[in-house]
Amino acid sequence: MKIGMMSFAHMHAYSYADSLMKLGNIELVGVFDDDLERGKKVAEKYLTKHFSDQENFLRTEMDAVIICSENTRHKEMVLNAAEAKKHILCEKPIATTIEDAEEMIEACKVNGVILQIAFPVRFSSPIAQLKNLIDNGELGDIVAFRTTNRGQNPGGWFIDKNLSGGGAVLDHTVHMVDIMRWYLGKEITHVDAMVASYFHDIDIDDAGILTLEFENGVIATHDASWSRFAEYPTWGDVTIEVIGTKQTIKVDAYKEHIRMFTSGAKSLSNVFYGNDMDFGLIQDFVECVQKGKEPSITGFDGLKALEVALAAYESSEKNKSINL
Amino acid sequence: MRKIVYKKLEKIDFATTTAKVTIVKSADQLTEGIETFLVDEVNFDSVINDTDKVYIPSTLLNVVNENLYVYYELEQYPFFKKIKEVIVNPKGVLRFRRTGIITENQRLIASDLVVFSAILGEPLTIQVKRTTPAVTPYHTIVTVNFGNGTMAHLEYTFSNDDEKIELEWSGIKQIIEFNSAEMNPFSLKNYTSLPLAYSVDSILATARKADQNVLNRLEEFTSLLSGGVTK
Repeated sequence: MKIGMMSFAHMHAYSYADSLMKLGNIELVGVFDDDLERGKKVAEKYLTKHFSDQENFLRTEMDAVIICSENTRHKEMVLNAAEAKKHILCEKPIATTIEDAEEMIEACKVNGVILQIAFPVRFSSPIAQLKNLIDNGELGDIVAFRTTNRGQNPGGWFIDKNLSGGGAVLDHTVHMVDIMRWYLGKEITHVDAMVASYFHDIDIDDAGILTLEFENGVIATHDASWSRFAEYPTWGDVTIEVIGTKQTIKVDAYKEHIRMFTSGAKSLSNVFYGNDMDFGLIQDFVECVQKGKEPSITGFDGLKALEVALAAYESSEKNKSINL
Repeated sequence: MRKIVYKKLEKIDFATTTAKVTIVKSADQLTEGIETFLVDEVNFDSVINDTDKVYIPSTLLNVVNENLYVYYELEQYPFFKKIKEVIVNPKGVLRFRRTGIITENQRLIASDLVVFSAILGEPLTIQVKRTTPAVTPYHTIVTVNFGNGTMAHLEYTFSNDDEKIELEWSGIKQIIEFNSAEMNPFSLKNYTSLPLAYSVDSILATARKADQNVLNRLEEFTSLLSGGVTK
């Protein structure tokens, strides 16, 4: 199977490319990146060809592309790749506006290609185990969720609204909204949020708390931020607590770690040894393409997660509850 | 003047209590000549008089009296005192959570709001979301926008589980984490109520006179919670 990569602007591109290498039966046919220096460097690293022209790249024979550009460029690349009949794995968030996301989904449908959204958290082993427990009725009925996704400020284009479309709330809300929807099988109907910039001297949000309500009355909180600093023992967290009528279970996707103490400014490091969720995502995408299956995480899933993140900004700005 | 303190005895850390305390089962057993009594019951009305100082938790306060003193449970915990001491800038994100068999739940949440407001500023908005009370566990989310630039989720899960408190503070270049289940000095937890225990000294030192202002403050928050204030 032949796969190409479109842009290495998002750091996840490196881990996705590493995953492709690990799979063994994949040929990475090329990398399109109009950041020439970066494009040449990664092409060299992964022993493939660099394309500076998107049209030329998409004319190359390949089954699928992985898009890891700046958020606001997802639309352009998805539309072009769909037109070129390539199956697509697109980094989250799907887009920065609902209209763009809908257009992307429609374009993929019309062109008969898969559009999968990169929500790797679904492939975290403990997160997936909790899904099984819920499906097997071990928690009873779900009453509420408590979730967090807090990390470091990624800097670069992430803090430029013209390229990212939003800060920490956009970056760190979509994953856990996707997991809650996946666990519950229901949609969010009300969003209340407070969004602010606290932790860094930047012109974009770096903190937000969301209070959510699902169509069946389940309530939830979410803490999204870039509040973790370099000296903190770990990059950040991805946690979910599911409060059920039979029992409550909390899962931390990065809990599997060893504590390493060293002399220096960062004395304690939590060294993660759990499963590689990015590899799980890539493996799943490749299988979907090979078997012609419906993607496990659809464009619609990406759209619904985006809807909540955008509603959070609106709620904070208008100081009111947003009904979806 | 005698001091009569009402509290569940399992909450008292006698190792750190230096006040000379006599434990009695009910107000009938109070005797003259002893300074401080600890009473493990909630029926305190009968002992309010002109000569004894009576100390009650804020969750039980519903009258004002010259000799009645009120204390906030959250303020008593050593972990909370330390957190108050180390927060350098009240700007950030607070996540606070209580779990367990919680009685007087509205008053407890109101009491916590009084305590947090004193540190983080007057709330600008308070919003409440609840699950169905008939279903156990019953979960309440209180979303607060504190005046000094703190956004907070205070969450309460009323269930039959053991009592637990979690607090996370994401501040500027400062992260504080507390989880009573993790910070328990005993690995067999049923031998101790630590870290959710406190001294009688702390109660005596932090209690305020139960005047109209204190009662009004609690009533104000209780009423906001009952009404489910929306933005």
